[in-house]
Amino acid sequence: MRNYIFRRLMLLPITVILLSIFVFGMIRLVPGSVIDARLAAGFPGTANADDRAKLEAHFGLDRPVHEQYITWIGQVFTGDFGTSWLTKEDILDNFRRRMPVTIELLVLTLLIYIPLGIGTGVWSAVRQNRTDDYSIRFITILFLAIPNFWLATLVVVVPLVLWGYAPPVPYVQLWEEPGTNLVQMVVPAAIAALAGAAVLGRVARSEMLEVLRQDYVRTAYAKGLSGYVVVLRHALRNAMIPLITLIGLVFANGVAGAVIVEQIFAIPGMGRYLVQSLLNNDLPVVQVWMLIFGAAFIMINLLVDLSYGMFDPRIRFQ
Amino acid sequence: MSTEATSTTGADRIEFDLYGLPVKAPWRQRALRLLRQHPLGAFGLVIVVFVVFLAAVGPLIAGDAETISAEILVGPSGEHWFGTDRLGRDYLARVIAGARLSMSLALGAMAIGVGVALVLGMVSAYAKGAVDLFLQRIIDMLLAFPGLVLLLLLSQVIGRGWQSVALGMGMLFAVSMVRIVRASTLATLAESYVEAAQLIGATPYRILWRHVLPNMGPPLLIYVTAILGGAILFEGALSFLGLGVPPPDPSWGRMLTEARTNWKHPHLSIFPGVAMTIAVLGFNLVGDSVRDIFDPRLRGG
Repeated sequence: MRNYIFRRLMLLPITVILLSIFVFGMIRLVPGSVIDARLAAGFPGTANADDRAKLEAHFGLDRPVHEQYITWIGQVFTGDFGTSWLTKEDILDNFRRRMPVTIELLVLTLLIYIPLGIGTGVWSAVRQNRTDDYSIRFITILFLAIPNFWLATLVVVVPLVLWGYAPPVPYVQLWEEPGTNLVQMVVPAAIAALAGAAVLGRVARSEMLEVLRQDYVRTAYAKGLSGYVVVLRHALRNAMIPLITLIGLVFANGVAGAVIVEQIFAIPGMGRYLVQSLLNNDLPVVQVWMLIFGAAFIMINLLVDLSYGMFDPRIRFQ
Repeated sequence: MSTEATSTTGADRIEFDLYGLPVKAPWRQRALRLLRQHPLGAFGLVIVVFVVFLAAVGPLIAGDAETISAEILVGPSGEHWFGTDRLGRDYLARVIAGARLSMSLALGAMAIGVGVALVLGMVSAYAKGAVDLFLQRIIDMLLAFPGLVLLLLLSQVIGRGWQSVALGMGMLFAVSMVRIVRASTLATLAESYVEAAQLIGATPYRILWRHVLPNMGPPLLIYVTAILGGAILFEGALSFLGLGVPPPDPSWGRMLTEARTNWKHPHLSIFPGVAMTIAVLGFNLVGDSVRDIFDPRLRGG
């Protein structure tokens, strides 16, 4: 076990270095077209090779690729994320401002997501093949099919058409006006949570069904324990182990949901930052964004892998 | 010729399908059996067939999706069942053209994904050692990303346009399928008949083609049917964000974006959204049933 943890931790830096090379390499495949676009916008019809070279030198794209990579990675590690090509703002400043917004959205999403997913899954399993089970499964299948960006659009448009109601704009920070902020954030969080909750609910249901068939559950019933105690204390605890593996998925889904809902509800978080930067070919921002979030995803996956053994002592690595 | 064929498969053995019916059972009986055991899957199949049919023959029924008229932003009527959009184009024709685009992209992405995953997965499993380790580290790293975020990064690199979207989604699916292919390849390579084939001098190519590939069917089929619905949603999300299929191709995702600026005309956002939901629902239901049929361990999920 200790060896396993050690090996995984040793591999972590290698994976992160691979990630940085991957992100950098991918982004470096783009600039030619970006420079062309900028030239077309800046000097309509008059761009020549000289302008092009100047622009490339300005962005540091004229140097050898490995040199660019080493400069970039060195700067990122010393906390210099560079500046945006579009707004000329410091990227780190933007991260500082936007990260809390997205973290709030993620926390709200999880607060809706986890109880909803596990609750409906457990309920569905306990009432297997009855009306509640069928209705929950039907709604789950439906919510997996409804595009979240469509749902978000409807949530904005329908109240507007019917009652002329629009949520308060512009966005206010949580610490400035907590009430207004929560009104603005709860609906996007709920939408980001729904599809994920449906996935979680399906897995929770099948895990629960598996556990409810076990002998020890029958024993617990036989010795006279109430249904609640058996389901919540005996069955759910064991059904939770495989669900832990979903934490990585939960986080990933949350970020993907944030990318969509922040754009629709004009929430100035990290997701919107990414989409705006992609739309404007703001490569330095995309590069750092992918590196930071990629590292976060990798780290969470590692923690999930390592947590198996903690939650289930039967699992011994190798 | 025919006696040879039967003697190799065993002439006195009756083959049974997954439902315990002889393979020769009349198709009508087998279809009824399927309907009874997987009513939702059969329902999904009906939806999928309907959507694919519309996508294939759509323009013949609904007319041209690009014809501009003076009747702009009219609601649903006898003449225009789904109304018209801001350029006076028939919205029914647009929604059906969207189905065409969506289906082609999903199927194209699937084909690219399966192709790339087969090559990478089999090479990784067969080569072992450093190549395998390196490829798997890269796959691990990519799998850590949420699908949509990875797709956004790929879209930035590959560019816009429907070919790029198909390529990007294909890469995304390949990343998640490589592991399945690799695991399946490793399992088959451990079989004694592969060892026997190696002993009589079969080339690696022949072993992969004749022994490994045929065993890949069920796991790949389960995965592929499961992701087709997701492919439709990914394409929609990408186009909705303005990073997918550019105008004038009628993508459901982009139609929904455009509908937001014309929010006073709700028919613009209702029809593409409903169409998308129905299509995804159909593929998901089929996917669930395919999984139940081929992998009974997961039944009831």
